[in-house]
Amino acid sequence: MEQGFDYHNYDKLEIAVKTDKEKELIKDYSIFGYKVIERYPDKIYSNIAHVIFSRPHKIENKDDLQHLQIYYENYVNNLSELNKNKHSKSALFTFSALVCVLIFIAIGVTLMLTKGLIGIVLGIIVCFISIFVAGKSFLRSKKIRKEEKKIYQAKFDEITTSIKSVLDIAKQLRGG
Amino acid sequence: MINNKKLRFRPKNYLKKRSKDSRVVRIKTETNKAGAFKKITIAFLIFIQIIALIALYTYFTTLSVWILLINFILSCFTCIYIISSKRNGLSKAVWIMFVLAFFAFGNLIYWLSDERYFFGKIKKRYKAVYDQAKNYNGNTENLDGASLSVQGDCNFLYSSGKFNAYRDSNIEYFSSGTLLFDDVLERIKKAKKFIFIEFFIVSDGVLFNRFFDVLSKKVSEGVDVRLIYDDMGSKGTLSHASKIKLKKAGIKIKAFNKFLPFFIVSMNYRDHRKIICVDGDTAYTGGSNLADEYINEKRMHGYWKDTGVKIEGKAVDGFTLMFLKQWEVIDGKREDYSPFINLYKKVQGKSVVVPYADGLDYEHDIGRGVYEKIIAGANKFVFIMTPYFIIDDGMTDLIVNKALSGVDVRLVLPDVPDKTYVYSVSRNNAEKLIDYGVKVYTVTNAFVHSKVVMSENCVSVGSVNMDLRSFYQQFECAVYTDDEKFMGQVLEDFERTFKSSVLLNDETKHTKSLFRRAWAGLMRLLAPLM
Repeated sequence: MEQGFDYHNYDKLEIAVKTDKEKELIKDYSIFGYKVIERYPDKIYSNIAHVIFSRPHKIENKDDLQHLQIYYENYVNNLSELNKNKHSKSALFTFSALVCVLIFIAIGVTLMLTKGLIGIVLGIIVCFISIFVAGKSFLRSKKIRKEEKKIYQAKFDEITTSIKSVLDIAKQLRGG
Repeated sequence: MINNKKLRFRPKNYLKKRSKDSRVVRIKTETNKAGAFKKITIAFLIFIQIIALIALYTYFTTLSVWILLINFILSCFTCIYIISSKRNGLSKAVWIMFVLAFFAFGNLIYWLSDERYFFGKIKKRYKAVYDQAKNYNGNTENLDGASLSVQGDCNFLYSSGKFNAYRDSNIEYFSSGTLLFDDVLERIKKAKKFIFIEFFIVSDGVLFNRFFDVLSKKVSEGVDVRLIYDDMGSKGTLSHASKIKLKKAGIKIKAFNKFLPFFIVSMNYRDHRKIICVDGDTAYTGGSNLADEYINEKRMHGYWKDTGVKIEGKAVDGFTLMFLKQWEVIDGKREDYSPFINLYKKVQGKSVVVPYADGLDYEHDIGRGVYEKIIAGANKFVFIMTPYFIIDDGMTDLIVNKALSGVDVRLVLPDVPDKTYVYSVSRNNAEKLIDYGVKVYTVTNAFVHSKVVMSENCVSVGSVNMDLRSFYQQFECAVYTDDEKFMGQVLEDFERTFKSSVLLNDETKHTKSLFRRAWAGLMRLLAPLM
């Protein structure tokens, strides 16, 4: 047998997991029947750990558990992706607005530095426009952020409910 | 002081590097990089040969206008030949388009792909083996009591391939590769005479190790253990070291149609069968290959949904003969089959069980024919589970007509593809049927590898995909039955699968986007050539 592992009677599962979620995931995988047999840190990344689980080869409802496990892993990763992109829209908008404002200010200052009366007047107008655009963008950005929060919360609730539901079904299948 | 030379050259803050991957959990799946490299190298070599061939031939034909004209006329004659050939309609259309569009070299590529010239010798060998094996075939059983539809199907199987219908056989369904292989391993542990194994893919891994431990022990007990694997299917998955290990343990192994880096059409004909025969009284078949992903102990494309069948009784001889004929063709040595057949235990059964095969060793397209007959004979429902759905117009019309007649036609496909280009064609083909009342399901987070077609009368489970490769190019096997208990098990599996699937509708169609439709259309053109 390979390196002392009893592959006739046990299944092995090896995962790479983010260290801040490690304990939670180990607890959840135990619902699917897995027990930790080894754990080691990643060679390159400080926030990744490698965990090796084993589970008895013959367990009740194994096929359903295997399918549910994939649902669980996808939900967990989707949740993480959701958190990562929580404010992506507002961030993009704010960045774009900032770039526009800076361009306007640059144009305004350039016009003012021409030392001609028309240039100075135009420069002041452009600067006022840029302040107006900055103000409007700030308010719009706040609104987008608020909408994002709403959408995020709804998706977050949906995914966490799904995770809970999957784990509950897994518990029932395991006879828990 | 850092003693390790490698560490010395690492940046000072390497331990503080954080992964930017947004995924919280990633399943670690071993990849055989050497295997992938081998496949890419072979594909590249074949590609270079094709390009060289086309370049040389094109250069020759464009030397003068007269040569080009003669080549064009040859292309026209080639097209006439294609129209009169036995190829399916879609294949004919695509080849004609190819030959005419690329008339400088199209006819050359066509003739180099014709199996009669580049697979003819092997076909003669098959005929010789099959003629010799007729003595062992036995007789097909009386079909009294079976429905007219089943009788018709059995008559078709006997007429087209001399596949006997057996009664007095038990048949059991497994709804996953895990359940199938657990039962197989328990059975082969008790083997006393012989174990015959034939798979398209045999792969290193946990399942292989489990099999190896049991099989090597059986060899030491005097059991005749034989393994056929497809050389292309197992390329990069069954290592050279494993082959040596098998041979050293006394297991006889044969590679079907060794895959060489040459542009020869026979390289395209593969053994897609999945057969296990034990002691002449138990046989297994289904969709699963001997690899970890089929039992979900290696993550590849989501949850791997597969099926298996166990047969006991007289029908086992059907699979034993299938294996022995294939072994004899590969081995080249004449073999006496009598020690391996008529060893079944008497089983009482009323239902009909017909093990059948398909491939270039048969004149008729048996796999396709069986599916056609099952669908045509349905009046209440037709359920199909397949990883790929690339069929010709005849089959499409049949399915559509059934749906329009009020028959409940349901098709189950994967949600997670294994080959994106094939999936796009399959999905496109399936979605077109939605408008005609066919219900198309995709199993969420799963790759469906099962090959099951059932109606209220009968069911077929085996290795035959619903695609042109399985219908026209590959060696396949399956079992056809009207056993009520078995059909109940299959139906239960379908019902369970529907619950974990998404029913496609206009909202969920992939093919709404113009790009996707164009891509699927292009892939559909290439499908008959694949």
